[in-house]
Amino acid sequence: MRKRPFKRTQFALGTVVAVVAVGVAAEGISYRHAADMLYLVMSSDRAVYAQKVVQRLTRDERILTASEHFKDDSALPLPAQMFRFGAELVADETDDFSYSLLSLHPINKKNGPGTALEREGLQYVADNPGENFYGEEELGGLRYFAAVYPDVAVAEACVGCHNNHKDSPRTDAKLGDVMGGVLIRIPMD
Amino acid sequence: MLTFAEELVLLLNDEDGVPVPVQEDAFACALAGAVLMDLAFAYRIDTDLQTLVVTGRTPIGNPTLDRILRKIATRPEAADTRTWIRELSVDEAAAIHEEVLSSLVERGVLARQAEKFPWILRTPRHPIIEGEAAHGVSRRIREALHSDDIPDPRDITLIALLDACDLLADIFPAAEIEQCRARIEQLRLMDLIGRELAGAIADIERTIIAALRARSARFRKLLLHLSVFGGLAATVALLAPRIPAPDRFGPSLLQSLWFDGLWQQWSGYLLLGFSGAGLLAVLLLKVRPVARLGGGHWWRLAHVGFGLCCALLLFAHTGFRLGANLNAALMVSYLAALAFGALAGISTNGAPQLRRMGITPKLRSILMRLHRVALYPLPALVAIHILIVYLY
Amino acid sequence: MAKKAALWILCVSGTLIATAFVAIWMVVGGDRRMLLIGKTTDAHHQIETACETCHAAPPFAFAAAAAKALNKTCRNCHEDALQAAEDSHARKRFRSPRMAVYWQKLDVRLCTACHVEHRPEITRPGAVTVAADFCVACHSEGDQDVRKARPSHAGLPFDTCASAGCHNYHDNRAIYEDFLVRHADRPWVAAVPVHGLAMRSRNQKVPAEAAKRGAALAPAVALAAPTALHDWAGSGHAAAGVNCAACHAPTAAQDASRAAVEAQWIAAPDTAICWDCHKAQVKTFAEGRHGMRRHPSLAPPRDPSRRLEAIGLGGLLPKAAAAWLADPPRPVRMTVAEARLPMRPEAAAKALHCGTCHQPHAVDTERAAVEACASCHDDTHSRAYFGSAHHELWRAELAGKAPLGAGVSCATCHMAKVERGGKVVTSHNQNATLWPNEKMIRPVCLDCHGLGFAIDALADADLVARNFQGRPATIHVKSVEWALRRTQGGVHDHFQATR
Repeated sequence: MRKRPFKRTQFALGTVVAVVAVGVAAEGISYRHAADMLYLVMSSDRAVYAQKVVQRLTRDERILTASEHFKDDSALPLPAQMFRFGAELVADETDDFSYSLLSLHPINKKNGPGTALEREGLQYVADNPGENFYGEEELGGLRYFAAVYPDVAVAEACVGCHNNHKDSPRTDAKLGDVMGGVLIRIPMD
Repeated sequence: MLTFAEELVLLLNDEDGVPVPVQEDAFACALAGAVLMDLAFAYRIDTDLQTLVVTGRTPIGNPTLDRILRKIATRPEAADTRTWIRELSVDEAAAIHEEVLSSLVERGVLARQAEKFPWILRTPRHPIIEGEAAHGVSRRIREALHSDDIPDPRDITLIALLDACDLLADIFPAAEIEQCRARIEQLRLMDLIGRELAGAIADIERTIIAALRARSARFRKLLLHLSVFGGLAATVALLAPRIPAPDRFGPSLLQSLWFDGLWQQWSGYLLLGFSGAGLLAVLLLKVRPVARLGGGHWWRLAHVGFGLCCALLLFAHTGFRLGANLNAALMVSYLAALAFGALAGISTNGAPQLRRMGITPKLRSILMRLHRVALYPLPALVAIHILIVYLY
Repeated sequence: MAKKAALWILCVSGTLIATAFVAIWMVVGGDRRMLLIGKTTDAHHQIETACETCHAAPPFAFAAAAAKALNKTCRNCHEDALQAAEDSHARKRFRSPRMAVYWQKLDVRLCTACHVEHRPEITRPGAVTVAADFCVACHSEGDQDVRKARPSHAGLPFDTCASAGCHNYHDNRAIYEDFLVRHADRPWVAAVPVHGLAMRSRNQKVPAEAAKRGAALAPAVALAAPTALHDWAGSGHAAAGVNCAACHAPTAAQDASRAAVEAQWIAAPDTAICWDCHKAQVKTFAEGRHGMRRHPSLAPPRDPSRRLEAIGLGGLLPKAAAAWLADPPRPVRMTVAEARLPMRPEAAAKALHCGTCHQPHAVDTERAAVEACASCHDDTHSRAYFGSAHHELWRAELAGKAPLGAGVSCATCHMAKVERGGKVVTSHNQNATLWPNEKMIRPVCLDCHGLGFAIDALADADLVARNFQGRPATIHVKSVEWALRRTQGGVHDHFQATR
């Protein structure tokens, strides 16, 4: 096997989450419960990366930067990128579940709502702060359970980048705003 | 003495006892005509413009002639010569042929050998035992054609019958017949028999010519046109530049036809099916009970039709791209089979036209053989082609 | 009658026998070249008889399973390069079910959606088998409609996206917008044009010492060879203390006596010996077209007896048949004669291994960087190199008239130096910077040239054929201007530390 340390770290996270998903399904736990648990793992890991790595090294200790082009800039990946890389690796490893970070005002258009349910869910979590959205939809001939969790701007950095990025369609975001949502899909048999 | 029908069968039986391939219709009409002419020579029938009348019911002694005579005599309503030629050539030709062969075998002129292989196409052969009787007919006809003597009236009648059915060129070299064309016309005009008999014979002859023209011309022309069309289409398709694959992204019929696996399987298996159907049509044609139904024309038409469909499907399947290696071998073999098939069709159904152009009927058998030879490697190549698709 | 029967028997049995023979070749072993349905693409033609390398699915697998297995094999050889290219359309990005709508347009989860092998007629540059305007599949509708998202692109035809020097499907490392903006203001050639890694690499070179001659430890007959000793003494090997035995008697102990070395002496060691010390070079050699027949992912020749066992016919194979059923020998060396590029006829018999370019004793990297290439390659680009500005710089560097790293040899661009763990090594994968040629911009061109100039030069096929004699005149790719125009004000990065 080729050695890909980066991938391996990411894979570890993916595997943990996958095991949770498969494990709960075996116990007969509802799709909703499984999605909630997956989201908890994702959001916790993301929070840890944002606070303990990015925030600390860039703002507090000021020894590194974080950048969209982290490789060219020898910098840290942005928290949203980190989250997405994980989602891509999970998609590469399993069809048991998938997740993505979406927004009604995405910087990259491919992260905008792509299906009716995505649009409905993102709108719901934007209109109803603190609430999650659950639904079902059919994609590529398969039926999926889908959950959308609100993604709130927790740091000044999030708001700043989204308001100022050349490709951002929204420039009036404030701390505490719902910026988008995390979507988790689990195929239903 | 041999009857006209017996002489006809002997003329059309080759050295090995295999029938010379001729148009079935012509042969059937010739048999029907031969029987009626024998009856006329025996003064049992006479014809006028409206009807064919029985003038004597005494049996002649030949079972076939007597059976047909009874059939004509017992028919309550009167019928004309045309009706009888049609009825006898459609309903009785096969039986007459069989009876004539049996009679010749009984008399020791021919032997009968059952063909043992292949079982499905079992056709008996009738090798010549008594050469003098068998070869005598053709020698007499030849002499009549080449000398200036006055031949026997029966020989003249037989020549006229063969000429009416356009069978002379199938029995003798076509060039020889062309050379003798003037003599044939001269012989037909000779007035060596009584007026009444001559009138009946001429009536039968005319009727046969008319019937053959009406019956077979339609098919012949259709077959000829189909063959010519197939040949032309194949030539154009082979010589024209390949239609390139479309250079635009998106749904495209040609791209799907030629490069999509699922479409390729559909067109491929359809092609295989139609090829099989074409082969089946020609195999059934060779089995006598089937050939007896509909006189073979429909089967021949089906064969040519399936061949044309195969050419169209081949275009759908490949765009006439040759491919590489074994695929190329398969394509070359298949295209050769189609091309020689079309040419053989032209040479068979356009025989009179070709003869006028000085092309001998020998060409037909060469083309037929090439058509068959091109088919031999196909089953193996097709099997390998299919295996490659599913194994890789 | 007998003739007819014989013909039938011949025809039926011939069909069965021919089919059976070919089926055996397919399933058990034997020469399968005649089964190829069409010309294999360049490079893959070197390995076209190692069918199982790609056709990994079991026989008669269902179409979907077969396609999956086939596509998995693509990644065996190409995954590393795609990862390095930061593949813009990586498969993993399309596996989420939210991409289902795109799967119907062009299912890019499968490599074979765009790259089908053995289809010469529809194979376009880059082994692409979809029409050049394939971007239209997904980027012409909704949010992804580039004509709406980018007003500058409104009237552009889709067949120019990936052919004009602006975008690539996989590798956009040197042509993505922020990169264009960041490098927009660089002059066409740097004030001090020096290839940094090449400079470091050539500085690593230890000067040869003639005194090493006496240290050579080899049988007398080998030492008497006309040039071997002389070449070795002047080589990097000698300078680094690599004695004759290291290659000629690898089994001998490090401090073995002359007698021991002589006892284990191998007159012509296999090139596998190079692997012992030059792992990175040998590995990358197998990734490029020169050495791909050594790639570890290639399927080995089939073992007929084991294949027969697999279908329950083991032990039924007579010895003679086994030899006949063996796959044809598969040379591990590419020969010049098999190349599809124009080559010198006198080089046709050459087979590629380490020693083909690096003479085994002199191991002269300067010769390997230019003369070795030109001893085989005979295309217009190669011929035009001699006398070009790049060549003049190379000659100047060799003559000591230009700084180390200023010269541009064939290897500078086609066997680019890479840094691995702080060490500079030469990638022997000549393909790493070759196709699409924008791959060359970052590791090579930008060391000396401005980005806009490099993009234009590489997009100008005539200029490439002339080996860059002159300047890009007819072609100008507007991507830098467009990127600047769209991003007036530059990129904001709010994680930038305020040191």
